Amino acid sequence: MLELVDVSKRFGGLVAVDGLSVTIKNGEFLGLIGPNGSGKTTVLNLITGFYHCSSGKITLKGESIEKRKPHEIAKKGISRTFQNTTVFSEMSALDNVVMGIHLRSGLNCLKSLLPTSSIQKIWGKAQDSAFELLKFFEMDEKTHIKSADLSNKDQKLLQILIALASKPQILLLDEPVAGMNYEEIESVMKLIKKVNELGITILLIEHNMKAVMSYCKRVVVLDYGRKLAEGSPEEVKQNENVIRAYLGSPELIT
Amino acid sequence: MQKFKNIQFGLYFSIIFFILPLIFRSNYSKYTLVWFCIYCMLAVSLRFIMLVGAVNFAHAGFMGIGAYVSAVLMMRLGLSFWITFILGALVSAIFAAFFGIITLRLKGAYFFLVSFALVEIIRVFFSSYFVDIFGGVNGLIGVPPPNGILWLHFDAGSLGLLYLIGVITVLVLFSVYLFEKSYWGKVFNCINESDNLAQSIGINILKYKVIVFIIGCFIAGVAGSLYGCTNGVITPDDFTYELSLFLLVCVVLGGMENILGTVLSVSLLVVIRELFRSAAYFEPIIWGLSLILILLFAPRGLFGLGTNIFWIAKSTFRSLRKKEINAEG
Repeated sequence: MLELVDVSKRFGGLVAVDGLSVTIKNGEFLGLIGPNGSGKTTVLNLITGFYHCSSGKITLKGESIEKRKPHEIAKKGISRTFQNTTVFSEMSALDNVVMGIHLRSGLNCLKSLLPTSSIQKIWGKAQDSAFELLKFFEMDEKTHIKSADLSNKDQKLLQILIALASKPQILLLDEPVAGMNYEEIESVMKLIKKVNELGITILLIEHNMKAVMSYCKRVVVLDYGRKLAEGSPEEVKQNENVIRAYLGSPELIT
Repeated sequence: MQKFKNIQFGLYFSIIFFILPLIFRSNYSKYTLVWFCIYCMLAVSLRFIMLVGAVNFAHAGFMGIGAYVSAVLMMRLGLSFWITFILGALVSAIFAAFFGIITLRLKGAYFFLVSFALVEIIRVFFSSYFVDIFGGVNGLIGVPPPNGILWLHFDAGSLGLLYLIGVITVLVLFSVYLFEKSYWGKVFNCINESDNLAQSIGINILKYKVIVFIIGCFIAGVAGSLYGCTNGVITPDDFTYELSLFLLVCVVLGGMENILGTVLSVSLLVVIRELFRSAAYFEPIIWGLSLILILLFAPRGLFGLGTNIFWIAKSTFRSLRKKEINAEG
């Protein structure tokens, strides 16, 4: 579905991503791991158009998307979250999700300038579907809290909801469980799995080995911008290169 | 609820405004009210642009474009004010579109710096180029007032002109208010808060920024042509960074939360400005200093200052009570 062919990105002399080729299949739950500075977030930024590739090709269902701008890529059905939690902090949780619906809510037009009844109706509809989403993530009690006042976990969840609201085909998650304790990680990963079961393809970048190894079906390991290994969690765990580059001794994983 | 309250306050404000000139009948007070209106339009449109995070220091320049185009068309071609003031604003808006598409990609301070350069370029352009059209450093003298319609007369210093400008101001404020309260206002909020996240949910931020910039500069152009008609004289020095600085102080003092905050701060600052007319030389220093002070002590503006004082009072009261209890214990 999403294909990266020989993608490279250079920042001056630094090669952040070096000839990376990855294929993400429809409905897959793919994990992308690697040590700090291995180029994981850069890959995400390349896919979503925040950076443009120095060379190589990125295609979505056969259509090349590497020259597109971020908002055009969002329109194609690729949503993302950010590593540093980014929500619209002055708005309520509900409004955040309503803004996430931007592309398909029908409010994105000249007509929405005037508070007419038809616009109010569309607005109400958008709020309803935003509420449904919040309920799906068990956040329906926090709809009217200003999102800056939410806990770290709730902000991370809200971020995923904003991305989900546009009904994407692919969801790219950049460290969704960073800074959480064990129980929180479990509950968030379960929710992400629920999203995956809805048929949404997920690419997960994460530092937490346990989360990646127990939930992802397939894992890609990056190091210095190159693909080090690819395969099921078990295969990756056994791969000597991976162990040397990243995980230390195999006992530490489990 | 909040919505209706705002509209109510706006209504009271405009009623007071329209009664004032009937009580204070001197020419001076009329002119002061006209300046208030024009500054109101300018400050509100500047705030409107700042909603998407672009601090447009060239606002005075765009006002100048409106003023010059409208005055030149009236004086050299003899067109009626009712056409030229739209044309002046349109030229200002078109120029804003060109400038905006190129420069609104810049973020924060970088855009501010470019617009700072632009306001100087505009001033130099009007004072040194096409001297036979724009009148050079002396500017244009004898800009005619709007032509009367039926029994309405809009001569300089007349009540008619004051009311005309007042009505235009109210219309401008109301439409900006509608804009802000609609879904578009939320989109502007999103862009201001995090343009990365806004892009990732599919908002074309450049498009929205350019639209906002064009509308803001259109309003500045309208204010400019009205300025020319009331003053009768326009010179390149009327539209310098000093005016932009004054407007910026108005917006910052009014806060970004509410459009009425800006109106209040403009009325306050216009009065202060009139009181310190004799110290006109120090104006840039005064405004610059007050800008720093406001940002230090009331970063959210007048409204914020009110709530800040409330919180400080509350917390000191609490800590005092705690001390009392401790002393008793």
